[in-house]
Amino acid sequence: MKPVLTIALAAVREHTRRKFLLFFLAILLAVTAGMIYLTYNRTLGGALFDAAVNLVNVASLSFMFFIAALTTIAVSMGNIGRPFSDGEAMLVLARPVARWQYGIGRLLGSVFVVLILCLLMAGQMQVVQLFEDTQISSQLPGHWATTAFNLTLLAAITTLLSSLLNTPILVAIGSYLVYQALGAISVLNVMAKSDVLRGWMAGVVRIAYFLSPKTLVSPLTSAQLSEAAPRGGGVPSVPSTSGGTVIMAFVYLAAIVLATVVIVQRRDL
Amino acid sequence: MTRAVLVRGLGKKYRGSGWALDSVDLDVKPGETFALLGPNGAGKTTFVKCLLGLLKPTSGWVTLFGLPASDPRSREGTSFVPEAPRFPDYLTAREVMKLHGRLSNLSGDDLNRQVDSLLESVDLIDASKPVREFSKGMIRRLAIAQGLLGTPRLLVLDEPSADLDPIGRRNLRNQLIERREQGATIVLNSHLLSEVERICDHVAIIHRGRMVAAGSIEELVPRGQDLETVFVDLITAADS
Repeated sequence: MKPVLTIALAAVREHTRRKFLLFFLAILLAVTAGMIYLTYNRTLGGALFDAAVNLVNVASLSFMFFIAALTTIAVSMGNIGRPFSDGEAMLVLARPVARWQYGIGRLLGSVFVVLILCLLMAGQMQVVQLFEDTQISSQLPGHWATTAFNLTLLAAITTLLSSLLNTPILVAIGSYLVYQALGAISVLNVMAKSDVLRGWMAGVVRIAYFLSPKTLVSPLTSAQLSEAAPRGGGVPSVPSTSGGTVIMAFVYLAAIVLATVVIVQRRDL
Repeated sequence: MTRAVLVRGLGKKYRGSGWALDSVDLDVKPGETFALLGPNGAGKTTFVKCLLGLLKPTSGWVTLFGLPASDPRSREGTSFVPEAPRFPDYLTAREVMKLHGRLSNLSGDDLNRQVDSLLESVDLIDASKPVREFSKGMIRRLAIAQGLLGTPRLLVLDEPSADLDPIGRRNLRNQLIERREQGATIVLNSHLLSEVERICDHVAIIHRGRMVAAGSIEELVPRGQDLETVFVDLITAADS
């Protein structure tokens, strides 16, 4: 495990010096300041203003999840293909380090960054909560665990693509499209279940849904914040309180990591 | 006696092209200083990559100290200085050295001492900027410094003198001679034949992926001739 952690920590050190995190932090601070301002002044403008504040706050939290997803893609897009093609991986793999250790170490570096993003977003929600009447702090740990899982899944998908493609920008575009495609499959699956889609098309959609990785849904139940909880932009999802489906979500994640390792093992430098 | 490097029937064919290496055999004993010579495109870098398990051979096999090159344990105590080194852009020279030191099982005071000493020896001790702001020469010196971490038992260098000024070359030569005296096995891939004659005791000449000649310098270079003349004669004969 030592080489894996050494590679992961070096990757984190590198990511934290890039502009992605500064960009994320700047947006987070601006959005948080706006939310606090609106929440603090919500009583001044009557019921209509109060409803508008709720709407903006919900949109702001979803927007931050979107920015976190983009940041996750940005830190993961150069995990494998770029260092393999430009020779950076060569020096590390000339040491007593196995290829799978290199691949897992790079992915773990992205996951550590995801955890930093989640901590920052959790801090944001906690700060906004100081100005809210309805307190939901007991539900927040589950919510952020769910968000961390979803971003980890995105990091894993991006890393898998980066083991197939050498150009980071192509990996980023591909990863975003895959993530959105998973959302489309989810919507089609709902249509198949409600008989809007029938016959062989419904069968294909159900098979595609079964085979595609799933994100989890936050356990937040508060009427106000269950809407506010970012859900990953409509990606196929299962409730994170449902044990069997959560296990399946982790199985899909493990399958993606395994596929990445197999590809890294077979790549030449 | 276990060979430091043992190569049998090594072949490598890239997709869409011919054989970069074709049935190469080689023995390097522990403590030998060995040079791999050949014209551009002869297959030297491919050979070095197969040696370190970075490329999978199409045929044949390689062992380092008795272990297959594909086994990461075979690279314990092995260092590599590639022809075109690349490091993580946003790390400093010290962080790069510590990364490679830790991957070579160094830690604590020993690691810090070696990092300071080697950065001093390549004149990078005060370089606090990230690697992406380094010149080619600085990157080359950093590559050499990381290659010398941890008293390597096998040191593989691919064109290590490229981008170095005369002082840098002399420092590198002295470092290699020091490692040789400490008992390290050195595999040097270089075009600088005068350098090879000074440092190495054995050479192999490779051309179009095939081994043309191999042996000690005394065996290959007759009295009154130099390595350059022998090299050119062998390559010309192989071409004709």
